[in-house]
Amino acid sequence: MASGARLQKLLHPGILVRVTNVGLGFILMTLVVAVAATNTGNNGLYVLVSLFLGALVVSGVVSRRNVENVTVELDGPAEIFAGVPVRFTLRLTNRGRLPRRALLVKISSAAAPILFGRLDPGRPAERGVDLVFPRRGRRSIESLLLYSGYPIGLFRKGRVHPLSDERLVYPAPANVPYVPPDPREAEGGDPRDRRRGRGAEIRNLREAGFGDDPRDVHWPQTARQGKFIVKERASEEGRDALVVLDTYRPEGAGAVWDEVFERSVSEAAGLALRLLARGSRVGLLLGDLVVPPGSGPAHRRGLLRALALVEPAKEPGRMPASIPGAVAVYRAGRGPERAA
Amino acid sequence: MSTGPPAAPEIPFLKERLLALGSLAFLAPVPLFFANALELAVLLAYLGVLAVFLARVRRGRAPRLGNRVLNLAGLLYVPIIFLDVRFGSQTLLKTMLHLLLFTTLFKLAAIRKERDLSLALVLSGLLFVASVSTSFHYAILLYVLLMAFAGWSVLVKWALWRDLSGAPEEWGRDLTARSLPGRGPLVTSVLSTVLLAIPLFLFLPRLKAPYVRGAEAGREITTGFSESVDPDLFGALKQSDRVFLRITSEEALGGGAAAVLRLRTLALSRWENGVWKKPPDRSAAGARSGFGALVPLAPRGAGGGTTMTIDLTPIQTRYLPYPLLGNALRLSEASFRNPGHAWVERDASRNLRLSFEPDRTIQYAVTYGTRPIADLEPGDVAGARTPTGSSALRAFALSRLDGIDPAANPESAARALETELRTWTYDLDLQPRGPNAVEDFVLNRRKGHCQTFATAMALLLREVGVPTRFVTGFLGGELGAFGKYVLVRGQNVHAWVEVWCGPARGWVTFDPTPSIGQPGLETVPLAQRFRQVTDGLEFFYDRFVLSFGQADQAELLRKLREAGGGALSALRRAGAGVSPLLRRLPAAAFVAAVLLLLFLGVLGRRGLGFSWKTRGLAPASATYRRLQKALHRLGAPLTPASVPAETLAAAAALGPAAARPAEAIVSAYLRESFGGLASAAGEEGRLGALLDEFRSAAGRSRAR
Repeated sequence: MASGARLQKLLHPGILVRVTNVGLGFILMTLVVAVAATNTGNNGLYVLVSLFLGALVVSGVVSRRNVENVTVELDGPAEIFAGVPVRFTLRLTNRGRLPRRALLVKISSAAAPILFGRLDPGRPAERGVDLVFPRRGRRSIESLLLYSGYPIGLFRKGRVHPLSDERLVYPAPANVPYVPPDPREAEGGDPRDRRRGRGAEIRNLREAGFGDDPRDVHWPQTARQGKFIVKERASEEGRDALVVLDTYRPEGAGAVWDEVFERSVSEAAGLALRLLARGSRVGLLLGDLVVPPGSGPAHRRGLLRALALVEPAKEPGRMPASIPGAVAVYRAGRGPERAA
Repeated sequence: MSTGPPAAPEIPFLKERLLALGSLAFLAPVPLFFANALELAVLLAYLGVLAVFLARVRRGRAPRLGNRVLNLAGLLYVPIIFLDVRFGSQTLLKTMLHLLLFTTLFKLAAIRKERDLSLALVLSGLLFVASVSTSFHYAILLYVLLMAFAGWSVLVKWALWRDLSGAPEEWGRDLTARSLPGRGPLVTSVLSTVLLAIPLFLFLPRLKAPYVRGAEAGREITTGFSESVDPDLFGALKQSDRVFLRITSEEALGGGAAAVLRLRTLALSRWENGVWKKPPDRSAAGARSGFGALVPLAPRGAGGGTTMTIDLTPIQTRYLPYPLLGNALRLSEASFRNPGHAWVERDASRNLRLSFEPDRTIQYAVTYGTRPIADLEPGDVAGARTPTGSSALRAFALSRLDGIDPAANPESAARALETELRTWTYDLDLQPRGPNAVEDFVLNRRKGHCQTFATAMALLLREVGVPTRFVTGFLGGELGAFGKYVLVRGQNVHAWVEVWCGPARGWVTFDPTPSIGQPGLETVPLAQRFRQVTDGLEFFYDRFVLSFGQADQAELLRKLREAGGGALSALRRAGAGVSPLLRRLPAAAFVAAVLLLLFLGVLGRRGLGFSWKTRGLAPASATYRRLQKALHRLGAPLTPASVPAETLAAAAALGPAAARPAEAIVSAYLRESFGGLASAAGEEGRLGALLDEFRSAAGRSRAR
């Protein structure tokens, strides 16, 4: 390291220093004893002043060393939903040669500190931390504050550890407050026209053949006809579903509108996830943004990502009054409504 | 104003903090009793109440006094203070300490907020400060060390408890925090603090002379060195084992040097009503001499000889003891609070009187020879001749002179009486004997201690017309446990007689005490060395801690400067015959420092990876590194971190003959390092040949 850089590190070490109340009291007492020693010439008081000053120096050096050469990492899951506690792992590694003691980590200024009583050199210490992100969108823990009052609490020294990873917080999936649309009604066709599959709807009844699943036996018809009759189910796959969300925020709309909008986003997320779980191909229409119907894990993440980032629009979108194929329409400022 | 019952917000770690705080508050005032700053009853009452309080806290039933109780206690304490000042303490210090103890107890019992805890901590700190500032015994240093360990341990946890006040559950989650601070860090931290404190103590600016209360101040001592000495009372000192003097000499004081240790303090020539007194005439025979100046110890005194340094503890006298063989005395500058007001004057009886009565250990140096300097000045010889008028004493004296004419031969007369008295019995019986004690001693008892013998001899000689002086001082001592020093204790206090033997002989010293009563130079048995060690510690603490002042700082700095200068001179002398460079030591030191920095820089670069090291590398990588090194020597700006493209470019610049083997080496290196292909058998030889080919081609290219 260049000497200039070393000097700069020495002068601006990036260590935050705060004199605590105890430290302030200690310094004041040192001053008082120093004044008394000077005025009286009492060497007993000089002994105390010397010890107090020595303790100040030792405390300052030790407290600084204690927060140096410690790396802080925060690992968490890829999928985070707003308002849902997520377990992160906080990992501290001591890169120095001496143990570190009484380290505290704060993830946010309002959060309670997390204590690491002792950190041995080279041996990482981990603690599980439950974090809750209250709002959807791009959220990042910009930094972690590592601090300590060790050894005797005269100073509280700390170091801010920047974290570069940004987390995308998905909207909390809310329960859909109405019955999901009937597939036949949504598609407007007979289940018999659809492919065979493992859906809930019965596509056809036929005589059983080799390879049929015994669970598909239709026992009433079997009893009635005297031969094994099985249910042929319609497939849910291939059924496109579109969740529509009007993002236009009228001028003058207030907090109530914002609250309803956020609830709509959460319900849209809940509905989309539910439909995907049923095997539907789900698409989104968010104002001007269209996410074509699809399925699979990548598409699921895409849907959640779109819902995580959707913002109220200042201009009205081109959303028609009636959208064929839509399973749910969320109108601006109102609750969800059944598709037309 | 009283308010209702206190709201009790839960303070995190209250029990732990109260126990920690209580232990500090328990220890803090203990030394006050030993320093006589607190009565035992008060201290015991305080400790008793605190012990009960801590027991209740331990059981989880910490008392929490309400405002009404506090206000009532405050009001009640007003008359207590009045009575305390009026009838109890009689000193403001004790009253203030009582108030401090009272406040500490009530504050501990009325913790309601975080701030109350801090305040109680401060109160304990004040008690600790009071203890240290009022104590004058060396054991206080051990106490300070103990409190440093206790205080450090408490503060470490205190800091953590405070930081965890928002999340107290964390204290239970990480159990390693409970073992804080740990033995190793605690010892290291406290010892580092103490080591830092030593130079701070030595060099913190002293604007005032040290405030010192003598070790025995406030306690009555019948010193025997005042200007009025009652021989009946004198013997109290003989039973004391307190160290009065500490003598360090340039030469060893053992064996035959015992004669050096007869130290004369005060000669008294008037005998009035059974008490020795100094004559009222205080006119100084010699000029006053301030510190640093030589004080001749006799009118014909001359400097020179061996030097001894005497440290004199306060013995309630202004007279300085000095060896009978001494010839000059010099006060040490470091010993005096205000050197401008310190001087010594020698009176007509050769007593050395200081301008003030020291209340702290002072130091002075005395030069001495092998024989005492004759004191030919008669001084108060008239007063020294006055007889008591006792016919019994006169008759006894004459009976023992065996025809010697005391007027014609006073020295022989004195010698005869001295010989007679020395055959009597030495007894340290200290009972007062009344107005006829001397007659009783001479005629009946014939048993006594040194003062009895000296008084008897002085008065017997006076009855036959020989002037005498009664002399008090010290005889002998105890060889110290360390170094060349002698401790002179209370039992070394001694008395003898000086006899006027005419203008030619002057005052001659006689010691009538039987030899068993003459303390000598003793070597204490091993079992008693511990006492010497504690005495040494006490002396050290008294001299170098309590009495440490501005003059000591100046002396210390002078010694450091001299030591530095001495070392520099020694280096210069050593360098004079070796090299002219060493004669210019500062310049040489500068050059050496620059070279050292350059060396460290090279080491640093090597440490950062700027190294052509090939040991441990696979064959192709090692050959590649050698290729880079060869190119670097040929002037290519390459480092071990240079990428293969740079290496190839540098090789290509030397011509196609050099580039071809270089390319082969680089491709082998890439295969080995990045392709994961192990080198084939014989690859090392092939690569070596390629490197040789490159070197020869590069050499040819360079030659062209």
